[in-house]
Amino acid sequence: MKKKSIDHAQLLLLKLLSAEDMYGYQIILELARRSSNVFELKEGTLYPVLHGMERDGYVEAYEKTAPTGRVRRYYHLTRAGRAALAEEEKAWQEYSGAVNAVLHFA
Amino acid sequence: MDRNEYCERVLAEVGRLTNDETDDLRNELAGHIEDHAEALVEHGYTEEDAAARAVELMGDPEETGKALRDQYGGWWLVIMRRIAVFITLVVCVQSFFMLPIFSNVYESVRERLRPTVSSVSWDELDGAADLCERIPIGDDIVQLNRIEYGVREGKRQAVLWVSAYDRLPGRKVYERLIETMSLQSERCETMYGEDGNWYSSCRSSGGSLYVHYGQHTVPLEEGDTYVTFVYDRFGERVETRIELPEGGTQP
Repeated sequence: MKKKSIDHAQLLLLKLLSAEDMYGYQIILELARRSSNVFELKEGTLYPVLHGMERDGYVEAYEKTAPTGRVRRYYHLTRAGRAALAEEEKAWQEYSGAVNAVLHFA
Repeated sequence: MDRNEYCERVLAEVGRLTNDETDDLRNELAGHIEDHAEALVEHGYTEEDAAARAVELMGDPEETGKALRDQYGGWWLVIMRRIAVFITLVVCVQSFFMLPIFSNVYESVRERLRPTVSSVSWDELDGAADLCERIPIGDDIVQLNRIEYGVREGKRQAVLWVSAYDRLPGRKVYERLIETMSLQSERCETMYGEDGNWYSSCRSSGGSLYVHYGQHTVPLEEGDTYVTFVYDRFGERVETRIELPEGGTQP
């Protein structure tokens, strides 16, 4: 299947972080796993999205040391982030429903 | 391009950040590349190839740096944040030094609402009553709080509790105001010194007086019905007649 760039990166990141706190590289792996490697993302572009979500108060960052001794920056979804996720999920459902309705119009 | 060069090129595009923000961002990007390189080594890459591939997969550093710059808002935001921190610090320090003033205001207000009255031991208490009279003298207020009379250590006498404070809570009261006032009997007798009067005060750490408490005593004779509290200084004379109450108990 042809790989596609992500147009709704914030929605996908909010959804991933709603399950557990994650660090950047872990998010990339999880995104690839859940989309069966369909989404293609230049990994560096993940950070502007994460930092923008932090600025907007949707996520909070904290540092945690891995067993290897490497300090990683984890992102945690805030209450405002959960509200934004619910809103964006609803908007996406309406949008995808409308697209499907057009595609399947008899 | 190696890992360090990638990080520096991103940071160069982001622009002005605080030292902490710069360190955090550099560590985060470098950590990501290291994580990915380690994973590639596990998939059979050589360390050199894995490092190069991990950097390549990060994409264009200038593009990432510009996108990050939009999130941080530029150097002026850093300056505004530092000004905000500075102002907050100044306000905190100033508040710390103003704490004693708040304490003095509290004491001054508390004295108006719940006057301070100490207790004395009577052989025989003939009468006692709370007073709620305020006498303005200059910019200050002298408040009559309570009177008790009876026999004490074999002598008939009356004790009056007073306090003084400025009209405005938290401002200083004249140091010797209630010390210069006297409690007089119907025959204009009075008592001086430690036997007759006792004073206490609420002072700031700098020694300024904000509330002054006093206890005045006067000798009585059988049949006396009133005492007089007198201020007579600087050409101003204020006399307040206080009727001796019948009955009453100590608080």
